[in-house]
Amino acid sequence: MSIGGLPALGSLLNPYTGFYNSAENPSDLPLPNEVALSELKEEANVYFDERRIPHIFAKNEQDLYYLQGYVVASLRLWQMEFQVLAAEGRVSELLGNDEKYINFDKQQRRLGMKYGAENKLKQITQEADKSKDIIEAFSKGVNAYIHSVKDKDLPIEYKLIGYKPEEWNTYKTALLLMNMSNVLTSTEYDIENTNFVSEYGKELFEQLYPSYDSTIVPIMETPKEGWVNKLKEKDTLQQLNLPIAPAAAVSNQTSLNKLYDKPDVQIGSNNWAVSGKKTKSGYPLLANDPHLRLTFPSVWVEMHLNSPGLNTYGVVFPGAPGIIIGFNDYIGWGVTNAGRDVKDWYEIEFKDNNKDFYKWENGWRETTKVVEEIKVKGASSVFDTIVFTHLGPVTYENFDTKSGKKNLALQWMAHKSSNELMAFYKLNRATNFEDYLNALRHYSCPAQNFIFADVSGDIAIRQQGEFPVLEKEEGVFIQDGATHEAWSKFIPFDEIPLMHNPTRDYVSSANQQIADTSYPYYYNGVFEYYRNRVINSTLDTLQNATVESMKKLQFNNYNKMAEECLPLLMGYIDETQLNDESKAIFNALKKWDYYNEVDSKEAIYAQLFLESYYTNLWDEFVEKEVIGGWDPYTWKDGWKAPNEFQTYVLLRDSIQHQFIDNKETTKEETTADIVLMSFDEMVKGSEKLADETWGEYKNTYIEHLAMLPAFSEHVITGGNYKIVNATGKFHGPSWRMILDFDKGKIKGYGVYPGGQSGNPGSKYYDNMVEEWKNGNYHDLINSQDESFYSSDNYLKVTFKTKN
Amino acid sequence: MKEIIAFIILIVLGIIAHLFLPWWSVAIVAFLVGLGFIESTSRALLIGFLGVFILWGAKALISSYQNDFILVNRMSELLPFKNGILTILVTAILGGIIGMLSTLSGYFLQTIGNSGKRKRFK
Repeated sequence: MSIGGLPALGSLLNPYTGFYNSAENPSDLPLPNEVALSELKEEANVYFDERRIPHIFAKNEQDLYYLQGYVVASLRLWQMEFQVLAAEGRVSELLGNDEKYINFDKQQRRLGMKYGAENKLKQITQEADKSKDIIEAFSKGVNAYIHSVKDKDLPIEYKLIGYKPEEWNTYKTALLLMNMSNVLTSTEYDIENTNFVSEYGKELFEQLYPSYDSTIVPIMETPKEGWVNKLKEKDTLQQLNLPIAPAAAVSNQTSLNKLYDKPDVQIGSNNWAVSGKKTKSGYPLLANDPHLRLTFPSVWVEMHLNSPGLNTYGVVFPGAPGIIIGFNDYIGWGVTNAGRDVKDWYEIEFKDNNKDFYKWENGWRETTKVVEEIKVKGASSVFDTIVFTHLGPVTYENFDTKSGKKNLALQWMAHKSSNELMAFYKLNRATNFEDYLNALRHYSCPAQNFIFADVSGDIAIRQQGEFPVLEKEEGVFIQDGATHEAWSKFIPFDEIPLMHNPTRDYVSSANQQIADTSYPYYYNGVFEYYRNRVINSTLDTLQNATVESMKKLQFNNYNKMAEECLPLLMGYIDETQLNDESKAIFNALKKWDYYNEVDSKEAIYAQLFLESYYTNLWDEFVEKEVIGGWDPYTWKDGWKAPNEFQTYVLLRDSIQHQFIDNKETTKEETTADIVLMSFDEMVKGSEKLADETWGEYKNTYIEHLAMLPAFSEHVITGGNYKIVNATGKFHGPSWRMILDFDKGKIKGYGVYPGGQSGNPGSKYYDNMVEEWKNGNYHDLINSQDESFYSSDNYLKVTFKTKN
Repeated sequence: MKEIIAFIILIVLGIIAHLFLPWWSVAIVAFLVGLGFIESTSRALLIGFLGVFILWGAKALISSYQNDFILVNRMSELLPFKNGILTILVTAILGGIIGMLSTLSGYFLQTIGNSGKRKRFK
């Protein structure tokens, strides 16, 4: 109904059903004191504490996951649904007829997000275990909330965009897990590597892009007898035909075209556990902080789940049942990303334009096709036919390249069926090391380094995931789809590295390589070079550690990259040739302690200097942007410059290569020229930033998922990428957790940059940001005793059965 | 006196309508008030505007106050109004305009229906 030509404004602004309805009174609960639900088996209580952490006490497992679904939906309904619709490729349906949205939707479908989710769901629901019941109960709980919520009480984003929530289902939970896989398995550069080798040759590739550095201490200590012997003792080492010639001849230059949008490269994580020998209490300490894109509503929801035989606390993905990172009364666990490449690309040659057949050895193999309908708001649907090969979907079709139109199919571990939910179900109930190992058997993708400690004093780490057995260099370049069968052999469970109570008395990971070169299975990926060394050197000398020492390490702002690179770079500069201003900066950097603290000026100089050197050196691969702008490392499409660590190694060892020359100048530069040029750029750039501190310059941004600045926030804090406190511009510790196993009783501390509520009209939308910013933590209360929660500090919601 | 009664009726029926019916039902209420209780164009304008202005403004102000103005301040960044108080004022004015136009429509229909016998409710 149109009144005065103001229908949209009227429905948004009217204070009765419009946005004002989302203005939450801070003392109100989002739920009534009593809720009756028809599918609840027995009465149950949920207690919300002063940070709105729900403590769910159910009398049976079905009810527990049913209520988890209901409660999570009451806190984060819009986020849950939006993430799933984006994962599935349904953004145009909401946001309208824009090429950007339609291309995004096409990309998601061509990556096989739906295909992977269907495969996962099949296994989750077919396996004769609990996972089917859990995921169904959870889904019913979400729907019970959706059915009960009135239109006027829907999250504000529904009112702004103008739509209503759909029914939830188990497939959507599977899509959410696919989304996580997509974010965490993005570290592959087959196309970029192929481009490099076809342009510059293999020798230079090996020099500039080594898969890892032998000076970095890997996650797993090398066994005294070496990996091969150790693994042989345990099991029959499978098929190790090493060394092997490169798997695929590198084909012609593949692409100078726009590649699909890869998820952010700045993701990462830290975790560590120290044994009682290093702690004051004589019991272990465990810490974990996963680095993800910082968003509103927050990535995680904090929760306490209790039912007979289960008492677990931690963080959950809104949309999936169970606790993902957390602890119970016996064990604690955390994760970091493995960074291994489990996404491979294959060139496909179709017989003709019908694409019914593609080349296979000396003949042809049949394709299967799926027609995807992309609904578009306010316009007619767009249809896209996805061609599937035995390797996977053809993601890049008729892809314009130097040598013609090409088709690339994707084989991806996330496409394979698996049941990660079962791993978390069992971890939530684990009581010791054996239970932890058994839980991990269910976990396949995205591969993670699972850290563990328990009340008996055990600590452990294991890189868990399913990995194909690869020949040397398999998966580094684009391969020939006409000769490669799909992966069929996988590294056996017992041959994946595991470390249990090592003699060094700690286990840790920060996305670095898993093992040294003697590990017999070939792997590649993208690994970390700086955080892991700061963590390990701290843990090496640690004595009488307490929770405080763990907090200090998680919030540690030491810039290892600057420590290594700056003296080398400054060695090229003749101090006497500098003007006063430059000299002042030069001297400040010389005296700097390399800590990226929030109020540092030197951290800005270092950042600008290193960025500038990097972009001037690798100008062949980098879209150079104005100095002083953030993130100048935007790679030219289809290219990727060597990483920062390798850049430092080349500098340290004075290795000469053709890329030192800057293409934009007529002169042929030496390293000294590039360094000086970069130093001058830094001095100029920092003039504009004279009033800013490091925290202000970095200006960490927590962005709303719909990119609405009004619902987003800037945070002034220290740290940066490649620093243990990995708080960068857009990414950072999405959850900081520390567990203390003192006297065999686990006490947890945690914080995340956001709040429990997804409602921008709630105090609980961002109430934890301030503490997160300052490195403070909250006590994580997981008392088994329900009467503990009867105080005034907890708001009780009773869930009753309804006939 | 008549105006005060018309005004009270608009407020009371408006609150009831907002409790049970879609938000735009307030326009129907205002229209009915215009149809039955208004005696001149200027009164239709004044009563229609003020009634819904207060109905919307008060509610927007109270719920924003209880919310420490968190949401209305955020929304004012999203909407083209600089601050929260202005957003509340715009909300009230928008309500006022809707009320005014509806009351006026009701009153005009009344004058057409009653051509010649305008003092029917006297």
